[in-house]
This record gives sequence, structure tokens and C-alpha cells, in this order.
Amino acid sequence: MIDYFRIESLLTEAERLYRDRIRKFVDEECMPLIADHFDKGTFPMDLIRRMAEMGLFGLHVDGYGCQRMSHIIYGLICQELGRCDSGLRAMVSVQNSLVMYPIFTFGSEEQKKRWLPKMARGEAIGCFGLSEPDFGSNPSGMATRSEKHQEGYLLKCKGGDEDRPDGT
Amino acid sequence: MKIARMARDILGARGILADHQVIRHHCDLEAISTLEGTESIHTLIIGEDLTGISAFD
Repeated sequence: MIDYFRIESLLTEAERLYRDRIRKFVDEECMPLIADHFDKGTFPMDLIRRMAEMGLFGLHVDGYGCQRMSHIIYGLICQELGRCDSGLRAMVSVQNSLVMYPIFTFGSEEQKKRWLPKMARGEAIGCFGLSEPDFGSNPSGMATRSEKHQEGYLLKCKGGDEDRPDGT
Repeated sequence: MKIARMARDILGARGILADHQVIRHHCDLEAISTLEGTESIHTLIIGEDLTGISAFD
């Protein structure tokens, strides 16, 4: 494979091995499925369990069933998944950076215990609602609120949503 | 985008078939200029910050 960014020589042996393990997973398990999913407009949900088995969820988290990895490894994982499909990469980056990291950093102990192990196992999938008509991609100005509703939560949006990679 | 377009063109009419991968990446790349706020709207927001003149009123 072409070293597009000329970073091969900058990586450690461990980083290269990790990257190659992901590359093999992508070539063998993702590439054969992806064109069909693209045509149908579906997501290969079975791959979520495989991603969890490979330890791809919880890369910024210590404990709670997660194995923290360096930012370089995280980047290499995203690069390899993105080589196959940006949607696969978004699944991993939203779960890790937009959902698990905020829960680990800002959540209560109860929230961490409740969600992080489940998310690491790929049994819960995180979402992040971002765009609103008046605030674009500015999360600090968001007007959407969640209200407890029967057994779940009801998201009260001020307007429509346009742009959510893991659509809420 | 330029590379994706060229790769699609090299494949001729087959460039738009999912079998050859490039069209999927082409579509994903196209989305990048829209998600997280479109490129042009960001330019107008930065323009307002720099000049104090709003393009939105």
C-alpha cells in the first residue's frame, strides 16, 4: 500500500503492527460488504460487534472495560477504516470521541458505570446531535433538550435536524 | 475531490458503479464541504469576524 502521508518511518513497530491488524480486518471483513450496503443505504451492523471485539471502542477511556490507546493509534484506526468507508470511520470516531470521551470526562460515576462498559462491548451505540437551524455546528448554543418519556427520552428540538452522522 | 474525480474518469462509465469503490469515496468527500457548517457559510462567518460587516442581515 502506498504511504500517502510518508509517515511509515515515523511509526513504532507496535503502531505498525496495530495498524496492520486493523488493515487486515478492513480488507477481509469490511471491504467485501461495503458496496452492497452503499447501494442499499444500510449499515453493516454486525461489524459493530467485531469492532468491539477488536477493542476499537473506548480508546480515550481508562477502565470501565476499555483499553486506552494513543492518539496516533486512534488516528491509524480511523485512517484504515476510512480507507474502506467514511461511515465505518464515523461509527468509531463518534462512539469514541463524541460520546464515550464526554461521558468519561464529564459524566457522573453512575453514568460511567452504566454506559461505558456497554458501549465498549458495542451493545450501546452513541449519538451526538449537533446541527440546529439557529446554531449550525455550535454545540454550546444548542436549544435541543431531552425529557424523560415513558421508558426512554424524548428529544425536544427547536427546529429540524440536518446533519447527524449517527442520526438521532 | 480532484483525485476522486480523476479516478472516476479513468474508470470510464464504470466509475459510477459501486464495484469500483471510487464513487462511494467521491460522495463522502462531497459531503465534507457541507457537514459541520458549509464551507461558504463558514467563510461568511469568518469574514464578519474580520471585517465587522455581516452578510446575513
